[in-house]
Amino acid sequence: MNDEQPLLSVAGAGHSYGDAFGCRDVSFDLWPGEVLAIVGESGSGKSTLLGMLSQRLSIDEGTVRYRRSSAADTAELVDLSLLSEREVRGLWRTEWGYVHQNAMDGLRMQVSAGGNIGEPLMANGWRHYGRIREQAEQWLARVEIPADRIDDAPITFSGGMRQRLQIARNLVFGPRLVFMDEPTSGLDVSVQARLLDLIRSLVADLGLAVVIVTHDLAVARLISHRTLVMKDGAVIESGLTDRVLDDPQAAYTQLLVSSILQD
Amino acid sequence: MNRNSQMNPDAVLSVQDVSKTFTLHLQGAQRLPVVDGLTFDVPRGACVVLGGESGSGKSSVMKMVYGSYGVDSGRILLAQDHGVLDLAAAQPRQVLAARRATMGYVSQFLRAVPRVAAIDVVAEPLVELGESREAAAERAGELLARLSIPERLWQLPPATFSGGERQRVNIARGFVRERALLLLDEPTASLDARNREVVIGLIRESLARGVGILAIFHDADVREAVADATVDVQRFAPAALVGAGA
Repeated sequence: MNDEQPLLSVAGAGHSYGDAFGCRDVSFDLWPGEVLAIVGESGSGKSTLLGMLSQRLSIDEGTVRYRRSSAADTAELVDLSLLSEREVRGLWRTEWGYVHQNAMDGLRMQVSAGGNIGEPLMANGWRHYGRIREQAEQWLARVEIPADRIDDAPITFSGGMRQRLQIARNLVFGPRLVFMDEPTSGLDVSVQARLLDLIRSLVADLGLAVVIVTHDLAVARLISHRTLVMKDGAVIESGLTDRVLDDPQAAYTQLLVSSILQD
Repeated sequence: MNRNSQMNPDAVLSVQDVSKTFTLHLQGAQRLPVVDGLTFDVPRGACVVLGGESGSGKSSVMKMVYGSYGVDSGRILLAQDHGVLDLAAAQPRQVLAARRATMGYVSQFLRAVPRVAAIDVVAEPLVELGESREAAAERAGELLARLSIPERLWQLPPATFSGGERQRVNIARGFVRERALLLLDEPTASLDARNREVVIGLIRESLARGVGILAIFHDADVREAVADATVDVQRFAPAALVGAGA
């Protein structure tokens, strides 16, 4: 692995809705094993930024460059806006994951839990049914879903279980970069804590790079190494998560931090 | 980047002319100066204690070294295996790497993910380093036992523990992995005499192996037992405050 080159390198990037920018002038580098939190209130542009990074929204200015696994040794970063649709689909199949806020957007609700985990493997050329099922069993255990639920569809699962299944579906094929959009909001506090712990340990075990959008600074504190604070489409503060939260510089960040409930 | 010449080779940490002021935007941009011209070294194998009255900025200094607080000017040089890093100017990624490789921190309060078992909280720094979970858990267990955390508690999350037990879990986590610099922020604040002795023993063993320690101790007896030098933080209070008699 080349440690000198980032996995993702964003420079002056922005996305515009017509003549108004949803986010602009965003710059950061992300390395394997790093969790970057994007925090801000609704309307701050954090979802637009996530959409742009994950190629769901166009990059209208600046660049977003990514180091593909085939380029791991050469450390060559490719400009994402130059990739064909087919190449981007290839990235989604083999290198990128996306965990949606609502598990229903990321799972096939009528397909069994085992099928939800097996599908991405089949998309990557796995054909042996027994081996796929074995992987599905391992991943269910890893995300703490009882093995006897393997043939049940997620429509019958609790919110926390659905979210854990979505994570398994997104990690089973061994991605290098995972986007997460408010993965714990909408869950009970105790379920949230369990999910955050699970994400944290999986990220550490697998050496993933993660970009996680959250409005909850406590979530950022628990699982991210670095934080970007967004307001009105701009990054107004960034740095080590503990420094951004313990020694915030911008007036807006101080306001956000002062409104956290103390633990 | 070779900046060794700017640092005494015997020191693991060199704080040079550091200034820090908080600006509180929610209080009408009120400025709160903490230190000015702060300068001291932490030699290898020595324990340097930050002194001064409560509110003089001792914990703030600790957080500046660890990187949780930024600094306005000056240098905070850390001797690492591959050279000297100026923590005051380092990129987040370099600070994170320094925390993994070179400096440990025991704060007054344990901050851990709510559901994680005590033994895993303690073992985590070793696992991050690439040790197997089994080996890490074994080392973590030894430390927890030494700090008299009963084995029946090891699999429970520390959130359910008493203040003193939580503090000891935190200490075990801080000592589980030896690093060149150890920052101790009142690690013995809520301990009984017996466990205080254990912590003094852990500190002395680390010092004997050449670890440099920067510490804040509430207890005078702990301080006397391990301190090699004291830095009076108040001496570096910004002039405006001294003038106002604060």
